[in-house]
Amino acid sequence: MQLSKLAVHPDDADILLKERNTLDPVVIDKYRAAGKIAQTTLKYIIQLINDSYHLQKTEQPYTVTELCLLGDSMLAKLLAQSYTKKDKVREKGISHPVSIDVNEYVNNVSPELYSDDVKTFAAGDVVTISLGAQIDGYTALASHTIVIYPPGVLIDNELKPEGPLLGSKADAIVACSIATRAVIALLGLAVHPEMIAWIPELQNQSNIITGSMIRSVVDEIARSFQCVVVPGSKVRRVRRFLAGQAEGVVAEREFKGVVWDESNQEEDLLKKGSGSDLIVHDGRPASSTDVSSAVPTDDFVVEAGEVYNVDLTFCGVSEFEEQGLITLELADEPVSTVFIRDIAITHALRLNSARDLINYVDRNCSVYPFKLSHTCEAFPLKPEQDNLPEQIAAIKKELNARKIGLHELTNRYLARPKPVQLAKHIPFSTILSASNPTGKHGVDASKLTLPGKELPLPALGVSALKLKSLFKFGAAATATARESSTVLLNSVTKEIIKLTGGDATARPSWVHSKYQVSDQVAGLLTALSKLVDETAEFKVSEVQPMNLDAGQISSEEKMQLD
Amino acid sequence: MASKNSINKPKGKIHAAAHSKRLNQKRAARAKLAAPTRSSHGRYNLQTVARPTDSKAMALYTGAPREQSGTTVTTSILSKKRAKKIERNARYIAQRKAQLEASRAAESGMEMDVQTIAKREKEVKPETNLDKVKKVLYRAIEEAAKEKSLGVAGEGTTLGVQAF
Repeated sequence: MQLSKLAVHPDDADILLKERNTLDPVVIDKYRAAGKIAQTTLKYIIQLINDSYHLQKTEQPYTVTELCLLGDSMLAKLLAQSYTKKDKVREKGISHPVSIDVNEYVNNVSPELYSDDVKTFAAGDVVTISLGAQIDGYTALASHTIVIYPPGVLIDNELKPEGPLLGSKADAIVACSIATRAVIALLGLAVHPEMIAWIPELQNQSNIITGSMIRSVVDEIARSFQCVVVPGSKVRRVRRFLAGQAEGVVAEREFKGVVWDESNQEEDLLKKGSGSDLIVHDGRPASSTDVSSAVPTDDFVVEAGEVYNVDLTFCGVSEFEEQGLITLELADEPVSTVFIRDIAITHALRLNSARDLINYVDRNCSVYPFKLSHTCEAFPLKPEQDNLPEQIAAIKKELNARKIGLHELTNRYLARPKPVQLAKHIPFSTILSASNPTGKHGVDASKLTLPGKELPLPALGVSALKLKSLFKFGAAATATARESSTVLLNSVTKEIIKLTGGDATARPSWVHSKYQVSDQVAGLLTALSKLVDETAEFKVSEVQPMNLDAGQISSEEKMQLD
Repeated sequence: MASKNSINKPKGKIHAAAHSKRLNQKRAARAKLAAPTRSSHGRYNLQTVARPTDSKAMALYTGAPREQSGTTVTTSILSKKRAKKIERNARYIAQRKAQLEASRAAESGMEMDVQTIAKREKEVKPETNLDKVKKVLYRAIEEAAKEKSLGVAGEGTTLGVQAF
């Protein structure tokens, strides 16, 4: 194994990091194209789920594996149609393979064909679909949570669900949806700084939108719906090729964003129970680690002309009797199938299949995560042809050979698996009474974390390794809801463009929570929604998905973007 | 048996016998002269030689010299080590006496000296920051549990429409 350092001339670094990230019309078009592809695929998968589970149009329901594969195929197909001229765009691809997380699972569940389980959904399941596309490194990421309802009833000659989803699952969905809207509106205020003065709740600030404002709003919404913001949630700046896809593998310089993790839950609880002279952890990294701009802090100002990804995951905790910590456990089942190339490592591989695979990945996937099925020759699937079972069998056959190559890649750390994680609730009383002789020095090397976030509970001195040993005392959360939306803040046209998400594509499912927003943020939220809905100058537009005609794109809708 | 003049008389044997006989005689004579030991004459016989464990000190401290004898000059020498030991013992005795008195007072229901109680209490370690954090967190958990038991007010929130 050999670690390589990439030497980039300062002038080139300026071009790559600054110039290529200014939002000129060409760049915005690329972002929009990536957004359109992501939106279309998201809509396509929602439609597939609706058809097979709610409207019973298929003989048997699609499994998670099939949905992932069909979604990836759709992404690949749409990507192949856009920006076909090589001189304009050298790289384009899937920035996040379609992953479908059911209930307590939080990320990266995207089973391959070789896994035997044929997982389907049950009524009452909360299903999160995550995916992404990139064109020339300009990335759009999308996540949306939908509800699987029991068989519907006929109303006005149309099948409709009988009632909304209730309980803590619904709490999470409602809170997540409201928080995402609020954060997007707050980000939008960076384009219109003069409007900040209109909102009395924000007036004490000096007409800027900061990370801590975003955090406080999201936390307050979570609190009023008896929810917890799941660790790993982020509101972060997206730059060309830097969309958080290699988090924990490569540290990103000049990271800008709000990140939620376990330490925030600890801090909240400490604030609740304080009243002593206790020094509460201030969220800033220790002075020893403060040297790097890769450590996320809330001390940043949202600026117009930037792109942000709002990726929030909420978990309802009203069903847990005891106050507990919501944390992420590495799941044993299903195994990780999404991999990311660690470009810092080179190694002379022994197996031919491994060499073929690394060549393919370096050529086609660049710095974005990939699945083994993407590398097969029978990929993407062509559902419009009648021989779909044969196509799937061909991929399956090819996968078996490529699995061996992948094994060598992961053994040599040339590719790192993206962890499949599930949300878990550990009672705080268990954590407090557990002995912790190693203190904060036990580091979990296998856990991919952002720099500066290695210690989950800094005040208690509980390390990730210790927390891992406490998982057996915890219970899996009922469900998590995740909404991810990439937002472009255009400083020239003063427009806010939602590349992904929005009501047209990711309409919230019918849910009812018994809670409502607390008085602390109700005023702010009303003011923000008024701004979005009624103020003409505050322009928010959504990238619309292409017209899906029975899984096919009609010819006039074919992308004419380049 | 071979005669005294025999060529192969057992010279060594004879010599050894004569030697041991002479030693026995000497021992017997010495035993007659010496005082009996305590172990051979019973423990209450005080007319015996000193036991090896008996104190060989030149003088034993028996408390402060009395007033009239304070002026007398003594020739007995006290080793430094022994003086220390004597002092220590005296301190222990005083302590034990005070304790006995305190317990006797407690039994009879009389009030005790506050100072003695404070002295007897175990020393408490100073509270660390971790202890403080844990205390605050425990309090917060209790408060959160109380908050949870309160009911919810209002109509709640509905999202979405009645459609798949």
